[in-house]
Parts: sequence; structure tokens; C-alpha cells
Amino acid sequence: MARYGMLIDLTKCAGCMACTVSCQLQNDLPPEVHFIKFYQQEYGTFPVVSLVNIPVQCQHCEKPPCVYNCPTGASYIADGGVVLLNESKCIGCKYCMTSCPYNARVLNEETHTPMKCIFCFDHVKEGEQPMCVQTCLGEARVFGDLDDPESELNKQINEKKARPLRPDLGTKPKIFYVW
Amino acid sequence: MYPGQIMPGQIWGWIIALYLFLAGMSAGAYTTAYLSQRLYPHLKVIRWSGYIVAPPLVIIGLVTLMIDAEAGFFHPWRFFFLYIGNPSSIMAIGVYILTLFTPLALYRAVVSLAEIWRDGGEKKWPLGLDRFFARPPEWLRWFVEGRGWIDFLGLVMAVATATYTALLIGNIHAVPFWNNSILPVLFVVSAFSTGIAITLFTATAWDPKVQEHYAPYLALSTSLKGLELFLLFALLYFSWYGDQAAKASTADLLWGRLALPFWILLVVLGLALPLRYELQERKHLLAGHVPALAASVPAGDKRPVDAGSLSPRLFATSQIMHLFAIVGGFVLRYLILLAGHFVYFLPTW
Ligand code: SF4
Repeated sequence: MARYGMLIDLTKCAGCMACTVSCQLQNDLPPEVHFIKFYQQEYGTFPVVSLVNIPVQCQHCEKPPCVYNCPTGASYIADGGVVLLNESKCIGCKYCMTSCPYNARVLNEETHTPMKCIFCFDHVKEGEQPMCVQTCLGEARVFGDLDDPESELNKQINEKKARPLRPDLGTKPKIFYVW
Repeated sequence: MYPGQIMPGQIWGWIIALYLFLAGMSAGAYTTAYLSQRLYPHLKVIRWSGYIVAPPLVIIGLVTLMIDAEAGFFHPWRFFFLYIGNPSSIMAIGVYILTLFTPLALYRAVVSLAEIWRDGGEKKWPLGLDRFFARPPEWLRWFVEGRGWIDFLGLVMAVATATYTALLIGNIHAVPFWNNSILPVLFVVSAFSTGIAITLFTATAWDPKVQEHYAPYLALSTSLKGLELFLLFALLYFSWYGDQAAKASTADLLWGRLALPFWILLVVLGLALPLRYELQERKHLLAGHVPALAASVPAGDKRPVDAGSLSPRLFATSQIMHLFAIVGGFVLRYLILLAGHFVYFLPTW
């Protein structure tokens, strides 16, 4: 089975948030709920300064604290290393939400259970790309199999020296950023 | 905190704080009662107070928790997965612990009721309880007579309950202010000091005369409060020199958005004032004065005072101090939840 991962090239991201919107359409989310949140960070020293847009969604950690802490087993690691939530087991204790260092989970006000990016699991199973990858105009996003050394994803990770966010937290995130 | 990010305290708010507080205080009350039973068996009112307040506290806590877990509240069968879903989750372990502690505490409360009934001259009680206590069915004798080893098992589970409520928060690596080795100790110490406070409060309300015997309890309670202040200081100190997010939490508490409740409600009213009053009361007790009257005795007057002449006004002061200490336990947990900041995860250049 594959081990799905993603690369986000911040040097190509224009901050248009098209991915956020297509994700909302894909997942039927209300306008105020985002699975892909945009943050901004300044860098450099005056006068050479710049501002980057940083989209952050569930990092599909290989050692996900949300799954380890979930008391009912509702959060689990599915095929392909995708972290999913089985709503029919979820009691809504929100332990996963406080456990996630990347602030990836949001509460579904209707079902009172958390939701988050699922790597468009149903599409990916059919061999398609996740919606955010399909939508990205700047081609800042690459999706693929981390176990396949020939994949475009692995090539770009090596070439561009992509790194995950806060690897020191030990969650082994599977989204790699170029910055 | 980045703009648009949610705070941990918005996810887990006052209901979780209330639950952590109630479960901890219940465990503390049970422990106080158990220690009383072992060390001072003649101080029955204190023992009974602790044993009787313990179960309702933890049960109220559990109910609030279930109401907060809305997905489970509306689909109660899902709570079943707590037992089989993921046994290595701290929350699941907590469910196992509470599943043992709650009935054990309830059991000890029934035994205490039987003791009270016997002590009170075996009068008639509602619900036919007197008949049950007088002639329990053979297989329920242990239920009325009490068994030392069951009480001890209850103590073990009480300590486990207090510990688990602390580890539940301490295990969250995403929030550095919570994820350190001081916080669990602070929560456990606070659980026992609030447990003593509620036990003494109940015992005093029940029979003001027991106050004469409070000296050893106050010795323990003041030590715990002193330790709490020190642990709080250590937590803030290490957080300030630790992770960036923990530093933000410290700033919030010391001079930021939570400074007012932190200094006034927690440090002064919740810890320092009760500590000072208890120290004073203990001193008077050791000097042979009745506590509530102590303050009205002119300085230097060391004659023992008659317990029957308690002044109601001063009696109220000691009760208010216990209440302050109890509320302080809740404020401590609530403020720590509110002060949490998620780790900073954005790339830096
Ligand atoms: S990013 Fe958060 S929600 Fe996603 S797998 Fe990691 S801990 Fe879980």
C-alpha cells in the first residue's frame, strides 16, 4: 500500500486560497469552516523583507497524537497512511483537537464531531488527485506516494530540500514544505 | 498564537476545568477521609464528611463531562467504545479508573451512612434504610459493615483519579504550557488541598465543635498550599525560559489578558489568604484555643476557651476561607486551560 504525502512549495504559492475554497466545495463546508487554513509569516531584516503565505491542513502524521489520544478509536490511520475519523464511534470529547499541534481539526457544529482534511480519500482511491492539488494554479502542490522513489513527489522533495513543519515534535508529518 | 488560530482553551473550556476540578476534589475528599479513618478514628464527623461528599462530586463531574461530549450525549451507545476502542489512550484509562472509583466511593458512602445510623442510636430512617442497616441480607453484610481492604482499594483508585486528571492535560504535547512534568504534580497537590478544604467545610457545617481537632489537618493543608504556590512559581519559571508558546502562556498569566483573575482570584484569594488564615488558626489550636474564638481572644491570653461559646461571625470566616480555597482549585484549572497556547509550527527563516 502506498504512503501518501504532499509537497507544498511556498515559493510558488500566491496565497489565492483557491485550494481552501475548492476544499470547502468538495467537503460541503460552510463558508467559515476551513480545512486548509492560511497563515502569514514575515521574514528577512529591513529593508529586505518579505511575507509568505503558508497553507496548513492536516499533516497526516505517521505518529498522529490525535489517533493515539482518541479514547474510542474513532480517529484511526487508514490505508495509505491517511488519518481519518469514524464518526459513528466519536463521542465528541475533542481530545484530538487539543492534541493536534497543527491546529488541523475543526468542530462540525451539526454532528458535534471534529473534521479535518482527509486527503480526499475517496478520490485518491480511484487514482485521482486531491481537490487542492487539482485546483492549485501555481502548481505549488504535489501529491504522491512517499514509498515510491520514482514519484514526482519524492523527486521534488529531494530536489527542493522540502521539510515538514516542526519535525522535532515527533509526529512525523507527511506534508513537506519548500521555503 | 497566529491570527485565525483557535486556542486550546476555546476547545476545552470551563466545563472541562469544572470536571477536572470536581474529580480531583472528590479524590482528595476520599483520601482525607481515609487518612482520618486510619489516623484519627475518633474524629468520625470528619471521616463521614469526606466519604459522603466524595461520590456526588465525581458523579456531577462525570455528568458535566458527558454533556460536554455532545456527540456522545446524543448517541449514548458511543460511550461504550471508551472501554474497547483504544485502551492505551489516557482518557480511556481514566474511564477505567473512574469506573472503579465511582462505585467504590459510593460504597464507602453507604458504609458511612450505616455508621452514622449506628452512632445516632439506631433511629428510624426513611426508605427503610434502618431495617436494611439492622438486618442486611447475608450476602450484603459487607455492604453495611465495611471492609478495610475495599476502603484501601478506594484510596488507590482515588489517587489514580487525581493522577489521571493531571496526566490528561499533561499528555498534550501540542500545548507546551501543559506538557511538562510540573503541571501534573500541581494538579494532584491541588486536588488534595481542595479535598481537605471541602471535607473540613462539610465537617464544620455539620458539627462546629470538630474544629478543635483541625490542627493536623491544617498542618497538611497548609503544607499543600505552600507547595502549590511553589509549584505554580516553578511552572511559570520553566515555561518562561522554555518553548515560545509556553512563554506566551506565562506572559498571559502574569501581566497579560489573564493577569487580573490570576493574581486576585488564584494567588491572593485562592491560595495566599486561606493559607495565612489556616496558619493562624493552626497556631491558635496548638496554643489551646478554640479556633473560631481565637481571633477574639486578646493577644497573649493563652487560656483554653470553652468550645460551646463559638462566635458565629468568626465561625463564618473559617468557612469562607475553605470556600475560597475550593473556588481557587477551580480557578487554577480554568486559568491553566485558558492560558494554553498551541506550539508555533510555521517555518522560520
Ligand atoms: S496534523 Fe493533526 S489531525 Fe492531522 S494527523 Fe497530525 S495530529 Fe492528527
